[in-house]
Amino acid sequence: MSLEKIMERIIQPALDRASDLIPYFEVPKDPGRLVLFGLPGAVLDSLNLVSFVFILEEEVERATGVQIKITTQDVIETETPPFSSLGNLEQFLSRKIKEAA
Amino acid sequence: MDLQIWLGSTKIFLHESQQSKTYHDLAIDMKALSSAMQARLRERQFFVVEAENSYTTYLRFLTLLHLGQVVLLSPSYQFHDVAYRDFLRTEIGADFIFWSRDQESASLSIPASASLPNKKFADLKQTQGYFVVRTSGSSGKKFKLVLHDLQRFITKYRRIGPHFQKTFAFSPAESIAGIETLLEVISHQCELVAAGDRLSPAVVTDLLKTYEVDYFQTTPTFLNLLVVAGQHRGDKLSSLRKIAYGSEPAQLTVLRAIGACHPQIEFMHTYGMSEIGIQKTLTNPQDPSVFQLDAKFNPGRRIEGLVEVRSMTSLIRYLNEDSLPLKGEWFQTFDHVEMEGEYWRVLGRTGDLINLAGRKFFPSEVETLLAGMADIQDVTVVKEANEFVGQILIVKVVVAPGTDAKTFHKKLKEFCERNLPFYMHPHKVILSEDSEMNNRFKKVRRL
Repeated sequence: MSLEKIMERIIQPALDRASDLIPYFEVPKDPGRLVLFGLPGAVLDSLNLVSFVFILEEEVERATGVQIKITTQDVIETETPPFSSLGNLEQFLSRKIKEAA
Repeated sequence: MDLQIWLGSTKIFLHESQQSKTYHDLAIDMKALSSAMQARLRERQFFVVEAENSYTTYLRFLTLLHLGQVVLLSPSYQFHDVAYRDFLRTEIGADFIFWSRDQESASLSIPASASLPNKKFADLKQTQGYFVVRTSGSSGKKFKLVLHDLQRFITKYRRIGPHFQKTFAFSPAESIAGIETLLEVISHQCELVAAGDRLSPAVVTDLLKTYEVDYFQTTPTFLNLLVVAGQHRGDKLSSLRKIAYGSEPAQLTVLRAIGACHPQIEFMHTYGMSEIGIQKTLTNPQDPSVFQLDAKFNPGRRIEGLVEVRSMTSLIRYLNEDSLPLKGEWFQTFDHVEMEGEYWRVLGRTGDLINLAGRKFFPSEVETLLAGMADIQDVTVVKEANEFVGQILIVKVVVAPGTDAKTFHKKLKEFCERNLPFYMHPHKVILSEDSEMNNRFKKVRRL
């Protein structure tokens, strides 16, 4: 799946669902510069990051039929923190989906 | 606490919201508050203080201890809970003085006579302060109220000696870890950095760097999240010399990732509980996810896989339970550990208790709060192991047939924002219109 499709079919639906489900979570008007977690201005805090990870895993399965599990080890092995920007998250999911397919 | 030692001291006590207080400031404020309170207090009384990591909380707590009072710090959600107040009155058989966050001392309602029950308090020394920590038990009553002697903790810190200069108020103010952080800081006139209770890795690491904190006491979960956020890279942790963590099993890969970026950091696996305080430990430098209890300070032994400790800071007693889990001087923790060479690996306690990033509570507490939402007919909360944060909350709710799921989720989100502490927000919500399924699920949780 291309990076564009990952954004359109997985990340965007996950953000929409997160807005409905996760307390205090709101997607800003300019999601292009969204910081999800770990940097100043991030929209997720330490405890609701986990909720977003679940939603993301579900959206990956819904869009691709592939089951992935996001682990601490994945994140440690990633050069750029996957939740610091949507671009990094696209790259991270692309790798995870390829590995799991 | 000898306030004379602090008078004239230019050493910083607390950094909070870009303001700093010296030990001199603290001593002056404690003297003023003591004078105001002393005139109104006729005897030892029991204070319940709404707590957060802030100067106001620390000032009130330390002043009341200085005045020889008994103090229970309480998080906001419990402080304002009528049922919890009834529970305290019933269990201890005394009237309390409740001190809310925004209330001035002059407006406190102090009963003319509110003697504490002799059975529980008569043997306490008149001029010493005592504090109470709310804990939980694996059997019997849900909450236990643990009475501690301040002096035992001060003696412990003097014996251990100063081992840091600046630390960060990470643990909740009302927890034994939060109280110990404060008491150890003041015992050696160290510096404390406080930033409220809702902390993200970015905020914390910025503050660690800004204030050049050298000792960071946290939880394994927070270290996981710090690494997930990539905050271990770069120079934000460069001032740290020691990281201490306990309360949950630690992930070796995470500790190694931090250590690889910051080889100057020593890792320290702590061990403690509300009844015995935080114990002095020796951590395996090759595998900092395992530890020993330091026999010079608090010998420990493993009997049939369970930890027993001879602690310097054991509780005096429970205020709402007559028996103590003691075998002679040995406190039975009921923590399971396994041996790894000469070291222990904590496997945890069994039971319903949820330990979410060091915050401990029961599923029933979350159920009670959620049951206040009109659209919920029945609710069951269970915990599940999670790699990022140790444990998560899964909520199963029974709703009326035909309920629109999207609308319900939005309402639930708003309800949680208004009524639940942030650490009790559910991570997964399962909707059902079938109460039978829910009842079966409850039985599973209570096995």
